[in-house]
Amino acid sequence: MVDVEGELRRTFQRHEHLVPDPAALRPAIAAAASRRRVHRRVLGASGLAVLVLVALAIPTGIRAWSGHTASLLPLASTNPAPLKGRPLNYLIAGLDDFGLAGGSTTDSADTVMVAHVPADRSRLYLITIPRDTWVDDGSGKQLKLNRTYAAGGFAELARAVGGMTGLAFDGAATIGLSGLSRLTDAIGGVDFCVDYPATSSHTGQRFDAGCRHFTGAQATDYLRERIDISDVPTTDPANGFGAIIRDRHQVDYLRAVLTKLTADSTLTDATKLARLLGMSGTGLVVDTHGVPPLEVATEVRPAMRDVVGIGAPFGEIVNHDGFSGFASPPEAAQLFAAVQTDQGPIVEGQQLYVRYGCINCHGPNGLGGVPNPQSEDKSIPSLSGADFFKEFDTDAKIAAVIESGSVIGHAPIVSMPHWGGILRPGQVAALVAYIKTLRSS
Amino acid sequence: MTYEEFAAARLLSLLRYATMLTGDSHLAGDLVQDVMVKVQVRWRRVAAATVPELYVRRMVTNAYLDWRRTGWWRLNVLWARPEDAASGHGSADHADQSADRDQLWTLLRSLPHRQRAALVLRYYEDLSDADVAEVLDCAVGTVRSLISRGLAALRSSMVADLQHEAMEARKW
Repeated sequence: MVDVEGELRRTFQRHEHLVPDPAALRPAIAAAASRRRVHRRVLGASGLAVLVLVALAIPTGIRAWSGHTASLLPLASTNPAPLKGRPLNYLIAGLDDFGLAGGSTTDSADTVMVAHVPADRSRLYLITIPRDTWVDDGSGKQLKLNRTYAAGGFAELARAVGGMTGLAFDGAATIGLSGLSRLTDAIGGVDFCVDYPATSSHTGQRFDAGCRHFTGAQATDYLRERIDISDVPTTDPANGFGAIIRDRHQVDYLRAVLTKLTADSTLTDATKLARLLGMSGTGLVVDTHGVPPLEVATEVRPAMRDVVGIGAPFGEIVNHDGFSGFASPPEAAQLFAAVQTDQGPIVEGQQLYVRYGCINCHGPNGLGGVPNPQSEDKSIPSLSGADFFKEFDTDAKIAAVIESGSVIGHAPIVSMPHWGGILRPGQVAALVAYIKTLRSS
Repeated sequence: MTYEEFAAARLLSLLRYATMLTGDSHLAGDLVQDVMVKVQVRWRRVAAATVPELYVRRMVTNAYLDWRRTGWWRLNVLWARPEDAASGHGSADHADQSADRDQLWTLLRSLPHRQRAALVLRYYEDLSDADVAEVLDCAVGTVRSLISRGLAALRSSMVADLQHEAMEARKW
């Protein structure tokens, strides 16, 4: 039999870290009380004045109650320096707050990503960390990353990600899946592309591969879904790991949202921004660590031209307590370190090289050698040798051949696709950056 | 005692209580803020109570219990939450650890507010049945039944959750 009473006492005590800071609340109380006193005084006055005040008081009340800016990050995980001119990192968690079938809820941080903006604000990286990664809970017990939130709130999640990445954060945000629909509808829906065909296991709705418009409900439905193995090509390294492919979908969605917010000037308009952040029932909670949201938006906005998704690497499959998860590999820390030191394009290029199948013909590390008997060279040439770099001696030349693709020799032949029609310019640039690193190997 | 002295001495304790009631730091902040505004505005009446803290604690409790009945904007914040939004959505994508030590914390959310309040007062504030009855403004027998029903619900949910999670854990 479970000792519910003892466990209950311990559970309450464990969550004392959620208690808000009284010092932070006192000014808010004082301000609200002085507003209330004014209302009380005038309520005795003429009818017209009362009507006017009630009309004014209602929106004030709404704003006060639904302002979802709050403190998420423990102080130890934050970076207090001014934002200007330095790289920025934000921790974002997507919470599955739909609850278990039995009606109870166990919020699970099923999407965990670090938003990184380099000092030059050239791009916004959304680096997703697989939710099934094992992390140490501080007492030697292994916990899956997505369970850290339920175990110790956002502070515990921040501690785990901080430990894995070595990062201090400039702020944080959580988005509840159940409120996503509302948020999406508030901005008029979003447009993005479905990578692999999917059928919702919740509603039966079919999402064909290709670009389309999503209403709030459709976006939520699609973003919850982990894609079946059968719909994912075996060349995709995430085949079999629906949650990792889903992470990519969340990035596609966020890219679409950010593009839209940039286009409709929400990010430059304090009123619009406050209205969006303060909207109730969206499950959106933002912690900018005391910096006004508009200031953050102003710093980050230039980077939104190019929103880049990167998947943090996952390690071996390891079992704990009968559950399978990924070991946290040393490459994860290396990847974060590389992105922090402005090598993000190389990291992105390396992932695109695998994900888009360049590796299938050009080989690991661009070593080449795949047979192509009807071509002049009889095999696919290396991308790493001196010959290659003699011929392709500028970024523009490498980019040009990626964009145009190539057909060399006579059919049947292995030919290279016209990637210019498939990849965004930023992705081509990232591949160029990666290919240039192959020279030494 | 002035309002300032009271706030300095008791605000943290009220926030702790509200956090355990609502299970959420923002809601706890909202709840206490709302009550403390009232306390400040009518401080003379609060200070006249035999034990002002108990009086305010009752205000917090009542505000929490009444939350469902108040304005729609609060409903949006407190109630447009998972349970409502999820209805009809079938099983969710759930994570995967049977030995989840904070399962209880989330299970607490599914309890009726009065049961949760009784459990917080008993197992967090360590009040006697009589004191819990005082705060909840009900009979001692009612307190006992709230507590025993609350514990029973938690116990059975814990077992159900373990089974469910064991099934869900095979999926990734």
